[in-house]
Amino acid sequence: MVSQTLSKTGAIFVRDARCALSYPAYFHSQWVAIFVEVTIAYYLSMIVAPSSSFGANGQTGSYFTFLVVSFAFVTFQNNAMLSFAESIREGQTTGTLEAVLATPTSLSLIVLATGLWSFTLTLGRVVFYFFLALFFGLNLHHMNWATAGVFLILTIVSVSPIGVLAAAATMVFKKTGPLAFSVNSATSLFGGVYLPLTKLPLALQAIGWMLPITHALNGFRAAVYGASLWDLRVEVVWMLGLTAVLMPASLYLFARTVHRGRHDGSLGQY
Amino acid sequence: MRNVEKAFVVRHGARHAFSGDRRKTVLHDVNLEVRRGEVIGLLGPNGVGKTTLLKMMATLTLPDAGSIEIEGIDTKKNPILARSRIGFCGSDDRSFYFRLTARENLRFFGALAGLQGRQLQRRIEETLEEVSLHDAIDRRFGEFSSGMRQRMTVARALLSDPDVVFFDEPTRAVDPLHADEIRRMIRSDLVESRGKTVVLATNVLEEAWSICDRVAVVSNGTIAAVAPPSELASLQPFTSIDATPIELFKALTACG
Repeated sequence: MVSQTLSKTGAIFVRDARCALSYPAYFHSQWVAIFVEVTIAYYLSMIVAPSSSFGANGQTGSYFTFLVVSFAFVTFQNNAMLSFAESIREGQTTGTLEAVLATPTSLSLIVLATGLWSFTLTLGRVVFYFFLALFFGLNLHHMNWATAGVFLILTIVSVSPIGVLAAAATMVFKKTGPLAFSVNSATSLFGGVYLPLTKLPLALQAIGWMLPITHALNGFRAAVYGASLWDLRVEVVWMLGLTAVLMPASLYLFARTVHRGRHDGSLGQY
Repeated sequence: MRNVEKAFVVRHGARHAFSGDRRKTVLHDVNLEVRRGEVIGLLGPNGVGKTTLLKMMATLTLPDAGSIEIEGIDTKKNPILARSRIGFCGSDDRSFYFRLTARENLRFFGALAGLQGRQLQRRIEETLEEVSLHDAIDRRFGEFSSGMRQRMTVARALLSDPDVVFFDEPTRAVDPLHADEIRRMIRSDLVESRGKTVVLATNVLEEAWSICDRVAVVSNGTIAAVAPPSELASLQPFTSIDATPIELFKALTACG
């Protein structure tokens, strides 16, 4: 049972990796894009003075560090939104979704394993962001690596349900765009991607506080300045709690949309 | 399959997608018992509900009423177990990953079917050999012709060596030579040698006549008659038919 689950998960990972790598120009261009983003962050930070708002753990931080963490980590959520939904959409239009659903594989495995390649790639992108940023003066001397590792895992786990929800929406609406655009825009505004959450009005701060990406960014930024897991316990508890609620809810909703597709014969419709 | 019914929402264009929707009954009172080790054909013209019937048997579409059992497994209550016993060869020959090779595609679907390691490798080689695609094993699916793609759907359905195989127009777009090979493989290899049960949807009368033990005529949303091909033409209301293929097809599918 376990070996079959691992084998099926591996098969989905290999499929996605092979498909992605079969477009080499597209694959390589994303690394160039990271270089451009880090450069933009560097020059933007030159016109914004270091501030305690950008730091954490009682330290003053640079806008460069703030932006690099934002740019690197927000891709987890953006990729979650896109990869789950696009995989479903592609399956609908080519008919592979029906072929996959005809196999004795659970729905939760089919949808969750779909994010595995994307998250692995994003992890590589995050490492590349930080590697490049080191040449632009990113200071990781105080980094608490254990805290950073935990927040990396928590980020992946907590944004996965959002990807599953996007996949469920795609099952119904047969389009990937609108939901992903709305969530990604909301994240940029409320999640503290471009500016600290404390600069927003209280009502907007409350919205931001509910998003998992806000806590992921807070946690990782604090880890860069040496914060321990205990210092960030509120973030950890909130992200775990949110995942505990959203994961089963999103999987249930996805199962309902597939059930609906089976009922109205629209699994292969586009 | 007992008292199966199915209706779909029919949408009337984009502008009036909601206001003009209505439910159209596609299948009603469908009762069919398929015997173990036989080839049963679902014969009928386009749009009569053959694919819907097959998809319901393959758990891809849910019936509104009635029940379907495969090897004693209720497909509604235990779909995953039922799927482990069936192979589904759909009519959509695009349903593969175009950037992957035949081997990579079958490795993926084989793993989802529960095959692993050497057994999976062996089955990939065997099934591609069976559909005469072994020479193209490491070619990208996107480079395949329509006929080759159709044969890939047959290979995928046979990959896990299932007890029951559903074929939805398996020779569509396949040249006569390979179509004949597929028919012989279904009849001789799958059924006569290995004892598989096959349900075959087709609108080709000769195909139904040449490989099916029994033919179920799908007409007016139900199964109008089930009989061996040799007996079907002699049943009422077909007795008056001078059995040229087109006239017989018209008569068979107009009944009900």
